[in-house]
Amino acid sequence: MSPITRLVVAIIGVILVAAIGALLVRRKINERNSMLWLGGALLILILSLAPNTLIIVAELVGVDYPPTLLFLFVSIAVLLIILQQSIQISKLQERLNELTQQMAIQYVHRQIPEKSEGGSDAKN
Amino acid sequence: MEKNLLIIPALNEEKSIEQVIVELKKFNYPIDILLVSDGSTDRTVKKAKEAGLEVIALPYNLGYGAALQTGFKYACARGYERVIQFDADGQHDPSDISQLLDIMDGENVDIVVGSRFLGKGDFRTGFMKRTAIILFRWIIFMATKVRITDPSSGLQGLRREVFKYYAMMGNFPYDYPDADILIGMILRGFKVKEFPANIRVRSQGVSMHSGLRPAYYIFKMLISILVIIIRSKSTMEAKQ
Repeated sequence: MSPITRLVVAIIGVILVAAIGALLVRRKINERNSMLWLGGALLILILSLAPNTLIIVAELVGVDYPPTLLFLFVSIAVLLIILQQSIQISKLQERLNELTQQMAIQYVHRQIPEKSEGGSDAKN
Repeated sequence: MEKNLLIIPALNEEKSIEQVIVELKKFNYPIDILLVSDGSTDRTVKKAKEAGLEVIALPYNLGYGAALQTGFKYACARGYERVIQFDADGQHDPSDISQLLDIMDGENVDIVVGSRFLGKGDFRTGFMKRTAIILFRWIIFMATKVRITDPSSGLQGLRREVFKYYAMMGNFPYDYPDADILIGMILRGFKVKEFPANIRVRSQGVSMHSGLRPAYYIFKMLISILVIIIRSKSTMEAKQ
């Protein structure tokens, strides 16, 4: 990696870490969701500061052309992040559904005391 | 208050709902009727209220299954003993309810399903739907050793234990409850029985199984069935 490339990658890494930090401070993202992003940003920083790391790891796992290993890592990280988002969306959708149903039922019967049995968060 | 609740999930059915209510009321069944509007933007809610029905209006569209589940939650909260699912589009024949109630009264079954394939009526299905039904009949039999001819029938009677389970978060699909749910319930030990029902051609509107949806429906159902079988096997193993 040429010094300029290293500098550019390092700047991208710093901006990413700073952006995630700022989002955390402003409560736009929670700690749990920021972990994978922070991990990715730190990886970029490490690679820019110590570019030999990639070559060493590539040699260790028997990859001839180190940049392909980088693409593999990035692809896996992005897939993991998307999967995590899908899990979150499914969970939120389920909760939103439950909330909407309960709200609609309460709206109809807000004056009538009810014998509550169903509708709790249980799967068995 | 009656001990039976008839739930009608409805999405923009203003053209057929009046007729359905008039037909239902003609029979004077010992049932209360609840309409769950699944985010209808037409006059479905107004017409149902004018006809004297209890109405739950969901603020936006959640899906056919979620609308039914809202009815189950309501039935649980109000202490109903049995629930009857009935479509708002005029496909179901109110005269079939008497047989459904008779079976629930006289026999030890938990889920009673009105089948269009047991000789009553002359309902015709499209090629895709027919193929899907044959496929799912076979899958149900292989998974449970129980023969169900019409797994996608929306005309069903449910005992309290059944709809209490359905009412819980995560136990009922938002879109189309179908063969997957029946398999799950049979594997959980619930008894299912079918009776011949007269399923009529839709009086208004478009079927939710029209267009390209059957392909999506078959794929989604296969995955759902697989997940339910794996889940129930792991539950059984955990119990042993």
